[in-house]
Amino acid sequence: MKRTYLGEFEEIMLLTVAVIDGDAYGVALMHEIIAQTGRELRLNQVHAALMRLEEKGMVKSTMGQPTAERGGRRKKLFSVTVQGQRALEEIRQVRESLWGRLLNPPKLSVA
Amino acid sequence: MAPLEKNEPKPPRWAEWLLSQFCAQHMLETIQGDLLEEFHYQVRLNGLTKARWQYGLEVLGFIKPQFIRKRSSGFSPHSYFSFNMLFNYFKIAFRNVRNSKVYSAINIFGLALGLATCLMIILYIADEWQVDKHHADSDRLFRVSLATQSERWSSLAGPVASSLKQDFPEIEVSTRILKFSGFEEVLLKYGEGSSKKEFFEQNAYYADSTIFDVFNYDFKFGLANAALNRPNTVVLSEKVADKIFGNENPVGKVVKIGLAFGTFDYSITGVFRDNNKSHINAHLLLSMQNSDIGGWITEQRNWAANNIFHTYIKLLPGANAKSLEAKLPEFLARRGGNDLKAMGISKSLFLQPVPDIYLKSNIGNELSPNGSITYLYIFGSIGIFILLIACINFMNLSTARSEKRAREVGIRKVMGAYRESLVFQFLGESMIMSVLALLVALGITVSLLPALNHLIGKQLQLLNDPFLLLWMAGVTLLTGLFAGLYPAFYLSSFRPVTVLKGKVMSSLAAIALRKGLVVFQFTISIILILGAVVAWQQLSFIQNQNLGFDKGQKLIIPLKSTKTSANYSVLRNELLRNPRVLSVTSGSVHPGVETMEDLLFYKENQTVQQAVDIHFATVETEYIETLGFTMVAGRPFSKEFGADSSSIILNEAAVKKLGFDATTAIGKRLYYEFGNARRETQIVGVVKDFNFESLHTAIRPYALSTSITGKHQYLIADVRKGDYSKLVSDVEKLWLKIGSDTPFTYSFLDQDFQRRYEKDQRIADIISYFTVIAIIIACLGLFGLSTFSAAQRTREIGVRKVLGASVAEIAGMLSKEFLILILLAILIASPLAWFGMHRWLQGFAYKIEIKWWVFALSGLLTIVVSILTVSWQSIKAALMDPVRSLRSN
Repeated sequence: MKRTYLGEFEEIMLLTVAVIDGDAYGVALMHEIIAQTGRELRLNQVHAALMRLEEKGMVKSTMGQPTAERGGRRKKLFSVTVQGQRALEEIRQVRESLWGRLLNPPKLSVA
Repeated sequence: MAPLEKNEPKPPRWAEWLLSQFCAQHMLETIQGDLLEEFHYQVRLNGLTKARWQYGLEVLGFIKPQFIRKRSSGFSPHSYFSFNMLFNYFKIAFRNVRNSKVYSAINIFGLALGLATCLMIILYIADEWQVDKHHADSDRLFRVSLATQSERWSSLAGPVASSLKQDFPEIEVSTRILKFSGFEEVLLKYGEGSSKKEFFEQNAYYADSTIFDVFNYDFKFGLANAALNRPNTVVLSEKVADKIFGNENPVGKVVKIGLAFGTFDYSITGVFRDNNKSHINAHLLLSMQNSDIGGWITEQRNWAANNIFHTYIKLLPGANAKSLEAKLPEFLARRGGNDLKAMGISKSLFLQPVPDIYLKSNIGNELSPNGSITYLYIFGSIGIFILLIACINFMNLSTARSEKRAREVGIRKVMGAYRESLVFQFLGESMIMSVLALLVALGITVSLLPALNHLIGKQLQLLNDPFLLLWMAGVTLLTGLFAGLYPAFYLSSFRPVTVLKGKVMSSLAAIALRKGLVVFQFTISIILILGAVVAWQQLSFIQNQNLGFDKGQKLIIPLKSTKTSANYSVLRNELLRNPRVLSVTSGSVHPGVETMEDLLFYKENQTVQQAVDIHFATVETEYIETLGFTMVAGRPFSKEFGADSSSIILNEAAVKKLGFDATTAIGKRLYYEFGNARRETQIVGVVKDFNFESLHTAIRPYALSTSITGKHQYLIADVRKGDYSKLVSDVEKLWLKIGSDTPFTYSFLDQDFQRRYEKDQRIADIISYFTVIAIIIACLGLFGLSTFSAAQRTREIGVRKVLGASVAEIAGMLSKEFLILILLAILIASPLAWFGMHRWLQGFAYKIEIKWWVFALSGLLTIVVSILTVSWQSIKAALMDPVRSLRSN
């Protein structure tokens, strides 16, 4: 089976959802990513990425409690699915193995 | 949830509204929440202004397909565009048409009548609009025209055109067209013996060879650039060439052109097609260099006299017409100042863009009668209003009958129809209606077009121009949209709960609107009736106005060749032997024909500087008696006083202008200059003022002389009433007997005069047809509404009858509600129509007063027609047996 491809921004988003698990919704995610990466971000980009992740089955959402500063509207809380977990781990493995090979270059065998 | 504080910062309202409009419902809450939370965060961080700005940008950022998309549900996602639903809509629309035949017929027929009227008006306007739009570089073409203090004149003195070209480098080319007085018709002759063709042709003009550098003519035979280069050459229009040569190439052939003073040979150098319309409207173009009046033309050096050359210029690309026009006064003073001073005339030149001449210029000595942009506006707005009346019928009948469709709307909504889908359905129905109406309208137009062409003297064709087809399609769709929009929104607004309980009451606002629209329809109809009545009155007033002479039973025979002129006395003596002929005379012009000749007359001890401009005719002795002019003082010309060759008779206007009065004028001497010599003449009589041309123009100073120019141009005979065809055939026999060399043509003076009002008559005819159409459509709507109203009140009528109401009472009750609307319409329409017609009448020198009874009459007419329309249904409803109407309960 072909693996679902994750874009760079989606990967960061997915990771961030995993990191702040339990309170991962639009604004919180945006602020976290801005704090961590320092990049310019708009809410519509965050929402678009979350929608894509949800469609790919990487995250799932539930409606949270309404708050006053949201004008009495509910949050949409995201959490990482098993599939998302697996995708993150796979990416990490690939990266780590690559990094590992960079630090310990394989020795050439001399006859 | 904490209560919101009063002065809490708020995001911009437009952005909130916008978001709520486009954003998909299932995402809206989250997005709104996030945006608001971020907004409050930004307020704390960057202040309110920046936060609001940010909020707006964020909202705009959400305008992306994935946020706009509707959530897919388990049900069919495109319920109102799926094949099944479309099929269902068509089926319902078809059933509706079938089940209510009367309403559908009223709707379709009304719309069709409106559309057909509109189509014909579009055809007419497009046809008028095309005139002179075909010339290449038409934006660089101008006519140079003349203005004096009192009038504007479309032609200039001979030398102006070439001087303009010499003096102004920005003028690429200039050209002249000459319409010579008395050349309303020329005699064309070709061939000998049995194949001889001989006929009179109108619109023959002399033209400079440069005419084809200025104007585009589409040549069928010959070459435009060399067409009039040589002396005595002629270019024919396709129609004229067809009459002589059929489809054969006539280039190089020689035709004989018969003028009043002789017959001249012209060789044909080209034939142009008649496909492009121009205000010049030439049938023949003769070279200015020629053996007939060419000599006279080249002698024209005077800048003040003989302003009969229509002068056109073509500017170089990029040249500015305004700045050229600004230089014209200096040009005129430098070149023609002396001549003008000698004549004591001050005048100025101005430019008229050629494409505008046909529709916008109506000044002195136009080559042929022009159109009028005002009438185009009038017709255009009448067309729109008639279509509006038809659309209103559709709206009113649809909303009035909404009860019938209410259940359908309820069921559809319960089954999950969106409001939009219902709007589309009803709009689609009105589109179908208007397309059906278009088909009927095309049929009506095709069958009426010949009659219309006959009425307006044009050759309009339905499918001439692909552009027009687009127009028609556009008008039809707009009609469908306009007629359907209000019913669609009204019907789709019903709430299923109320509707399905069976309680449909038209809201008061809807009823008021319906009544308002009926008032509007009848206001327009009444304005049209009033317009038509006033126009008819004015025209019959003009036609029956005393012209100052007797135009009844006057036979006119043009004498268009030297030989027929010379034969005048023979013909006269022969004619007088006929007992039907009372008297015979001749003149250089006759009433009803434009008098082009004028001279400057001055009194004894005065010079030409103090002269008075007087138009004149040169006439035979019995002219005054034959035409029945009334003498105020003095005597008519008479054989007893020798030839009366230096006598002159003036009208009252001329006498007044000269500063005499009728009695003192007799015997006074007048002087004029003619052929470079001072001539003397003596006033022998004064006639009562008369209208020589038409009642559009006021009476001008006019003189009758016996000797200034040739007088045997027209033979005028006063004849007895009776069998005119017998008389005419007798005269024709005489004509042939005395050996005339031109074909016999004749007219009757009253008909000639009638022709001067043809254009007005045509307009009045067209407006009255429009009026009839508007009334028919409005009454169709009224009929529909009254039918509906009677049907709705069936039970009420039943109860009233049971309780003892008479048929008359019930019919009256039903008619009353509509009568009130009509009365209101009369009140609104009367002042509007009065204002419009008052303006129209200002264009006439002799006009009627608009009387109060015209309004009363039009109002009465409308009331009678609408009572007839309504009472058909009212009486039918009132006669109905109450047992039947009440049984169903």
